[in-house]
Amino acid sequence: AKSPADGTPRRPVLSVSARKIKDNVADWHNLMMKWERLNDNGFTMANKIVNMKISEQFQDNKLEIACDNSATESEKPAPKYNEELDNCCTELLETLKHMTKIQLKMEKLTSTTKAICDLETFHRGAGNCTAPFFHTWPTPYFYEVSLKLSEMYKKELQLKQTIVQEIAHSADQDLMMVYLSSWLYQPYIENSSKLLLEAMLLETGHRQC
Amino acid sequence: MAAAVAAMAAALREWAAVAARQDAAWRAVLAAWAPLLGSLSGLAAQIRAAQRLAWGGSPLRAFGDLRVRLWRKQRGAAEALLEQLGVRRAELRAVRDAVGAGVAGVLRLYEERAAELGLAAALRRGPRCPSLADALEGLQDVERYYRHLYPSAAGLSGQRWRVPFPRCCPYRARRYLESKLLLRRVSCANLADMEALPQSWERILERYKEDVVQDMLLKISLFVDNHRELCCSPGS
Repeated sequence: AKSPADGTPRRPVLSVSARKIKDNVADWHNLMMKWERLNDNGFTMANKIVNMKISEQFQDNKLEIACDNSATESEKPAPKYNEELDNCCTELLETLKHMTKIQLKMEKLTSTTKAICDLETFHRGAGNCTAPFFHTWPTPYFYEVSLKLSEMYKKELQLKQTIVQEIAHSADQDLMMVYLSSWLYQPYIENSSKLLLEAMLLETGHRQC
Repeated sequence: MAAAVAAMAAALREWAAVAARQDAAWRAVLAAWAPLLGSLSGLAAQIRAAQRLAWGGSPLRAFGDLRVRLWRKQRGAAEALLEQLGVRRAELRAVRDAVGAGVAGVLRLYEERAAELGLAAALRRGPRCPSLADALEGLQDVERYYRHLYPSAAGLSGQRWRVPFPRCCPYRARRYLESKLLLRRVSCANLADMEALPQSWERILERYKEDVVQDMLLKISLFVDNHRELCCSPGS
């Protein structure tokens, strides 16, 4: 069925779709805020881990110098279990698990948006234009933006997985510093992500001009 | 003469009230300055670590574009911090200029009333009262303190005031150059200097730790509260 001649919407399925897109955009906002909070927590833990590792290295170096001055290999003390380090690693892993869940939800939002675009195409038929759901954005643009954001967070998650796997096992202080910096600054989440989110919020009326 | 002394006392009272508020603002800005320098220092350490790292031999080698992306983010963070530093510097500049303008106003009044006051009156001290010359010299010390800690090409440096026994100090000139060079050097082009910022700033502040402003405000308040002694004392 075509749109009414006066150009005002809408067939019921489109109203439902518009509402779904609006809800998706709200979900994007909430997920991105949650991600940032988890990122801050993760950085705190990663920072503690690195400080403990550096401190351990310093103690080991001192001990080594002292032991070198005395007797045998067998007298050198065994490495101690560091409970606090273990706890921080556990917490960092937990943080990563939550971030993984968030990234999966972002993928779900993207695929839902894609489904709405496909539905619109199906109802529209070939060659006919539809009025935008909100102000100016064609529906496929919501999918493009969702996909772009989703890809950013997917790559960022891959980086964070590597950092979590490696950070407690590294002895290289420069490498540990790079892990920390990479975690904090999230190189795969481009600066444009904030703008894209704001644009979606404006378009769907979550933010007023 | 008494009227001139009273007029100077009134001008100094007004200046002291403004100076006390400006000093509080100055201290607040310096307190906010330290964490910014700390953040810049930490960021410089991170950037240098990334420059030293053998990326190809690390677990991060799978992320081919990571090095460039990380640098872009770090540079963005440095620019944001430098912008905040710029805002704080503008606040320091505002305090320096406000104090300087106030000092200029008082010294201008002295110039106008100098003939009426006479040199002897300007130099006379009372039992509990510094001389007018002491008070005005204190004013200049305060202005110089702010100007040396936040230097610029402008300010009172080009003006000469007929205040008895103006002081000059090569030690202060060196401190002026140090703080000026430190502030000018803050940039991503000088990472080693950026990393050492907190220590460099502490060293400069250590040399300014004597509470020049509070000491001078006390001296000026003694003049303001007791200037009548100067008019009643022998030879007035």
